[in-house]
Amino acid sequence: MNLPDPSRESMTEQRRNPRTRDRVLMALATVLFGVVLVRTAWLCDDAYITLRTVDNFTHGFGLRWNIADRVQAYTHPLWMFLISSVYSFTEEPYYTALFLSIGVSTAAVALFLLKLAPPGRGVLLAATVLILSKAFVDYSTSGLENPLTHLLLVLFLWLFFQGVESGLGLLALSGVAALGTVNRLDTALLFAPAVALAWWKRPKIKGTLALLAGGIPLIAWTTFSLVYYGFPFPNTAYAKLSTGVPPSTLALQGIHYFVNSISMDPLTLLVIGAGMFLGWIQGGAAERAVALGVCFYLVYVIRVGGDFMSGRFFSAPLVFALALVVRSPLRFWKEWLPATTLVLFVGLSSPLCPVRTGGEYGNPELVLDNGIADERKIYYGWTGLLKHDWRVPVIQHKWGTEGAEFRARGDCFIPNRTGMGFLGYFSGPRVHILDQHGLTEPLLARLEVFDKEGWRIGHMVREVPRGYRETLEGGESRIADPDLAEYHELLGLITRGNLFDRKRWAAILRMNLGECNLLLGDYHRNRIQHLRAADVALPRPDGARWEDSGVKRISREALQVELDRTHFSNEMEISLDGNDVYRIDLVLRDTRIADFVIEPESGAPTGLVTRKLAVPAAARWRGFDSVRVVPLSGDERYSVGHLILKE
Amino acid sequence: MSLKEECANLAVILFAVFFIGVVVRTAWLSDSAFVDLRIADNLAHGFGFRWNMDERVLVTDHPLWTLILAGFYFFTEEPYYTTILLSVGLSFAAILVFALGIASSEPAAIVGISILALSKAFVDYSTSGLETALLHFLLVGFLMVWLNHEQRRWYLFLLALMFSLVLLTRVEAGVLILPLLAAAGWKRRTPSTILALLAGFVPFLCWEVFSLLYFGFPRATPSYAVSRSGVSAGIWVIQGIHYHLNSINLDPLTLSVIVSVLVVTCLVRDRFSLLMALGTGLYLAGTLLCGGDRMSGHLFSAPLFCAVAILSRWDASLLKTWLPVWGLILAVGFHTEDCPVLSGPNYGRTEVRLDNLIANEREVFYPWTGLSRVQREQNNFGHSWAIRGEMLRNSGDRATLVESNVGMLGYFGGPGVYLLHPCGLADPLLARMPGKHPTDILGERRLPKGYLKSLETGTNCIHEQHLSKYYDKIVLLTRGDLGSKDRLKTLIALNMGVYDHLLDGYLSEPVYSVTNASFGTPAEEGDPWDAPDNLIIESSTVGFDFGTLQHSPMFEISLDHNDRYRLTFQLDSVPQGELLLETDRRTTPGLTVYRAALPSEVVSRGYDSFILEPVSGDGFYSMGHFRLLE
Repeated sequence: MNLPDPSRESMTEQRRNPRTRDRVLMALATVLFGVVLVRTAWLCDDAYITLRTVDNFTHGFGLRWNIADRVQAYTHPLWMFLISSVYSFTEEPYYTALFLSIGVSTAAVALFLLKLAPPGRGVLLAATVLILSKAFVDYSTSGLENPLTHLLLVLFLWLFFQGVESGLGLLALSGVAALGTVNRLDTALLFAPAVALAWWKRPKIKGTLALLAGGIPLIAWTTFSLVYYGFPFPNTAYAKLSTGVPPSTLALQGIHYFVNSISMDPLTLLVIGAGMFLGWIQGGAAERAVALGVCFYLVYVIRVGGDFMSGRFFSAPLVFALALVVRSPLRFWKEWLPATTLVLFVGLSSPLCPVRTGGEYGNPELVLDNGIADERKIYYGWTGLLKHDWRVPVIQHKWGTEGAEFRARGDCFIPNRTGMGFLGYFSGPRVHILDQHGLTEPLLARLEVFDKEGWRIGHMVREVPRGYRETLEGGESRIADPDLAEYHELLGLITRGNLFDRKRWAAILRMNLGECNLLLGDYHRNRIQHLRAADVALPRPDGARWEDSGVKRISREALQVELDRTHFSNEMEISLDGNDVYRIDLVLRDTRIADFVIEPESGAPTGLVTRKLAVPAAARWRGFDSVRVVPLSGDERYSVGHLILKE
Repeated sequence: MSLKEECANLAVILFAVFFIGVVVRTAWLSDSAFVDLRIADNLAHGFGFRWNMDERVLVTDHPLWTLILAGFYFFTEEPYYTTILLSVGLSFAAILVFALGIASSEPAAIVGISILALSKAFVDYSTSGLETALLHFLLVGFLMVWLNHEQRRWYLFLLALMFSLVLLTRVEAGVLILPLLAAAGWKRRTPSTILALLAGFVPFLCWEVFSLLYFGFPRATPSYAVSRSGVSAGIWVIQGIHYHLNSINLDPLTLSVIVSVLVVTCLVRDRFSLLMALGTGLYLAGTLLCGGDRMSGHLFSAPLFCAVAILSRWDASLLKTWLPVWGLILAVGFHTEDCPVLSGPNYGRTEVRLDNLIANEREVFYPWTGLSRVQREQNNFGHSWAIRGEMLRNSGDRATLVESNVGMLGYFGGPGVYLLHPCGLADPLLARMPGKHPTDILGERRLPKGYLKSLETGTNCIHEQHLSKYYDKIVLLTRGDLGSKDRLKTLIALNMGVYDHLLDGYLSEPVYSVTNASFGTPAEEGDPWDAPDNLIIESSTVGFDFGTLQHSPMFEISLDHNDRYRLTFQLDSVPQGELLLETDRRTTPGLTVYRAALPSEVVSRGYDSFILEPVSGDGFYSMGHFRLLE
């Protein structure tokens, strides 16, 4: 069986060469990661938000989501440009985003194993973690910016751990960090301590110059953003951070984000923790700087309340932490073997471990853990690569088919919607969509939510101000509140006005210096009209005129009746102007417990109409201490006659 | 031989036996296998190399396998066990040659056999009744000659002979070993090299000459049907990608091993591995470009065997190098629910699960044709297609049927049944026409009017003049006297494309513009069918283009009263919905005015054109007018 082969001798030499063996191991690990990635590849709804901008951009409508407004609806400019460069040739969203993600992610892993992990054991440990981490594998596709973030992080660490010996080295290091920050702004926290250390070790003036030169991508993008969009940060940042929710509540949500990750994907946070510990305890200054970056980032995650996508914010710190783990001196019997065994055990024991999921993964039912969802599980059935039917061009999720129908019908305006990705992309550029989450909407992004407690992270639903929908449809401002109307006018100048108009520049300056916040502040303070229960306790007959004395007109966004105590009533009676649409919110300690929408009844008398409403079970059990009446649409003459609760 | 070596050899033999155990346990026949068996049956009964008795059409793209099968069938006259035993025998022989003649060491052989036993693609198509088992055997034979017999006098001749046999088994598989053959020829650059290569190619050349003279064409009909379906290259590539993805989903081991071996070969860089990897890479690229196959994994068993052959030649002097590799193989292989080693007699499901038209064929047919499931006394497997075939055969009537599933139906139906595959896979005329739709990779064709009648009666009843003339030429080739001069002339002319203009003339169907949502002068009920303003329809279909997107919910159309018409509404040339218009024959002669509502989904999506197709009637078709209604 041992046959003569002229090429065997040299081949044997090569196989025995440790360098070749290590490279073979690295190649096999990368292939295995690639196979796992292909088996789990998917796209999330948010990826299509970026793809709509990409579609508009490549078709000459500019970097816009709704083509009427210059609004930055994406958080990852560099990734958006990368997709655009390929999309301009393919004009195809699905395979473009997926194969780009797979290519960049595989390159990131290959570079990590080649340049950061020590050969042999280090490669095996690193590959095992990367393949078994749900957060890393899930967000190595998904259509979001994570693959490019991973690649830039690996590139950064490679440069950083090589040692920054010259100004050119610092320039390259800060250049990669700047690109990473353009790709995702919050990764600046990961880069900052390491860049600061590298700068500190260089002569100050030369170092500062190198730092500035390296930072050109970030400076250039921020300048462009300010000139084109009028703001330095993406609209999504304002939408997610200007909600009015107290920081302590957000921090609590952030802690839940960690707890959710531990429950769904225990390996990721375990490795992050181990990396920080080993980096700080065993490492030198470089390792400590990297560990500090991870620490800053994790604090930031808590501060912003995490995200609604389980594990998404942990894939980037995992790359940094894993580099610290594999760089620490691991002896075979005492550290490496137990560590690898632990990683295998923790990773494989999780039922959601990527290697244990294939084409059958997914459950369209939305299961939330404090508002956090396993997004891949939700969308895999619609967008999973192994489930995709190329003969159907529209994603068959209801938002995708709805979008295609809007496009076919030639609709121009879609009011009050959430779920912007599939809907936005498939409805095409002609349709203007009013996004109640404010992610793509400049005015709503800056409004505080009504409920400071009853919200879902990343899905802060705004009340559409009275007259705003009509303003978008008609073009002329019909916003009822004068403060908000003035604010919107300035915003319109920025997002729709001539780019180099002086007035626009003045508006940009005022807006970014916070001068206009007073207008918003007044609006937020006054948008709810408060009344005592006694003010509307007197029953009014049906047919009474809406402007009769004693009838309470709703002149602001909503009218809130403050009850004397917490009620657990079964039924309520309310009289409202009969030809309008209202939403009734039952509120407990500023949190909406339940709501119902009241539509005009056909054949009802003009004037006030009395409705008897059964209180939903949730409100009956938990109680409510106020009732909020929100006019949704009608003749702009809204009023409440009386409100009586029946125990 | 030391005790250690004897133990190692015994272990290899045990693993080979284990492999065959897995193959026997999973043995099955696909419906396509019965296509070959029908030809074998006709051959064995002296009807010639034909599928439908009436004509000489090459339906199979693996003639060598069909001929070998026919040879055994001639003696046994039994389809099922003959095919299974032949496949199992060839697979066992292939494994033994691999283990004893190719693998460089016993551990390497064991790892190789483990991979093959855990690969769903390899095990599934080691039986199935298709050509794959023979292909595996020929590939492994070629490799053994290449590796071990370089010093022999007949080295190049043998290589060329094996290569030509591979081409006769599956043409595209030739690319797997072409680099090795080219390298061997290049190494011995002497005049005798060319002679040896030519001598080796004699079987292939003989077959090509026979095919041209007997069938009238050098290639098999399915290859014409696919290449002329009109589907764009981009769509084939996307389908090819999904063929790979389907394999990664159902059988992750197979492609993981192939890709890993290709990647590692780039690092190891020995001559044999590089040449084999080049062939395997080209083969995979070809599979991607051609859209793969409809049988999950069918095209990956041969490249897997090549990848395993490469792997088994790598140095295994240190057993510990192999241990993690083996562990990985076992982990990935056993992880899948379709792992052949874990698959027992209960495997399979009756409903077909399609993934982009790709089916797990063994899952579909194992409940009927699985060796562990077959009842000896039940010849037709209890499958509805076979039962229907038997009923047709027993009725004794001649039948002409348009059917998509033609394997069991054709075999059990016997020579009296004429089967017309709507995708043209077994029909020389349809195979040369484009598919109904440029994105339909199945390639279903529109039946020309009068074609079915032509097949039933044996006389050319095709209405359209150009196509009728073209069909005359085809008939001369497939049914005419083999030795006639006319046939020979037509054979050359048809293969040189001289008559393509007839096909082009038929295919350039007229397209009319519909302006202001109406076409023609509004006609009344009972107006003559051939009034001067009417559109007399002589082609298979007529297209109408609105120019803009329409959402009208209703339309009005006047058509000749005693025919059936199909209207297909399209958006960007993609069919959105269709309506069949059929009148009561008692209505007034002449035109009938129809008012019909469009399906709501067509209205909501919109449409910009429609196709009018006369389906059946008296052969005189006409349209008076058309207009959209609000």
